[in-house]
Amino acid sequence: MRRLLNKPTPSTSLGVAALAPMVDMLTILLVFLLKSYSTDAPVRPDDPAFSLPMSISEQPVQRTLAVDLTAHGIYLQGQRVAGTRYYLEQDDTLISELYGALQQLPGDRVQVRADADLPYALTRKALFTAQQAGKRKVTVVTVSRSSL
Amino acid sequence: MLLLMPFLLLTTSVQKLAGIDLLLAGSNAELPPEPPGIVEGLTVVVHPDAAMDITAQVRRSDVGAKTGETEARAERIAPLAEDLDLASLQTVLRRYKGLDPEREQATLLPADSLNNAQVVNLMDAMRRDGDGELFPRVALGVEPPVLVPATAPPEGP
Repeated sequence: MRRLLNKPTPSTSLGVAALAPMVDMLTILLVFLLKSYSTDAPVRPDDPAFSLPMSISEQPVQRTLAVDLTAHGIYLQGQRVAGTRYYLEQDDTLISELYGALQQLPGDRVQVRADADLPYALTRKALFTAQQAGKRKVTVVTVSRSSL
Repeated sequence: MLLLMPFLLLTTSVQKLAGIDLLLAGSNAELPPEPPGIVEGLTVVVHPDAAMDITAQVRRSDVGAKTGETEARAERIAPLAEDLDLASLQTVLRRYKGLDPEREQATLLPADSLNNAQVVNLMDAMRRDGDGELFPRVALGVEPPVLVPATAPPEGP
């Protein structure tokens, strides 16, 4: 009876030994995630074909007016303002719809988020339009090569 | 740690965005002044066939030469397997950087047919190479390009 009551507890050495490597792995994973931590929201999640060009730049992107150049259209602050194919085929340098919209918005900063595969012709027209609309500080948004 | 791990896994974004501040070179754009140096102007023109022309205004080597008394130097870089030869471009730019280490600005005029990824690669190549900083302030031309054909047509009889 006494032997039943005084049953020895099972050895816990195996459980403790298995816990240490798991904590090591979690620590390494934690350091890796902290190092690559990024709160940047994905750009145009509704368009899976959209991808930004990659760059060695590490400069963070400030929150400013955003002009998106995609294969499906030209967007300002998420709102479609013009068609892409029209301005790729036209010789006009100024994107009139974008120009009118930018003039109504305050500030002199704008960021341009252009699809990597689009011809530079459209980006050039968007940059020219932003310049004419008084947006002197233009930033091209890319994906850092150091991201995951 | 068990609380932090799920938080990070849920909130960490795969993409880290980076910005490249641009200077816009156009007919009514005023580029910021550069400190006076031996190289007074540096332009890279990229043609649709990926050939590149690098033109520089270099102050004459005369002892009495003043600002504005320059000679034009031009170099042409042929495409590498129908693509941009960025290594050769960096070699040429490093040479001009050696002439004028204080200069930070260069102008880039890409052809309209290049895609945005190629233009960003060009800007990256002009901003720094393996030996350090080159020209971190890149001015992009936004006026419609007037490009001379990369290969001169043969003269007929």
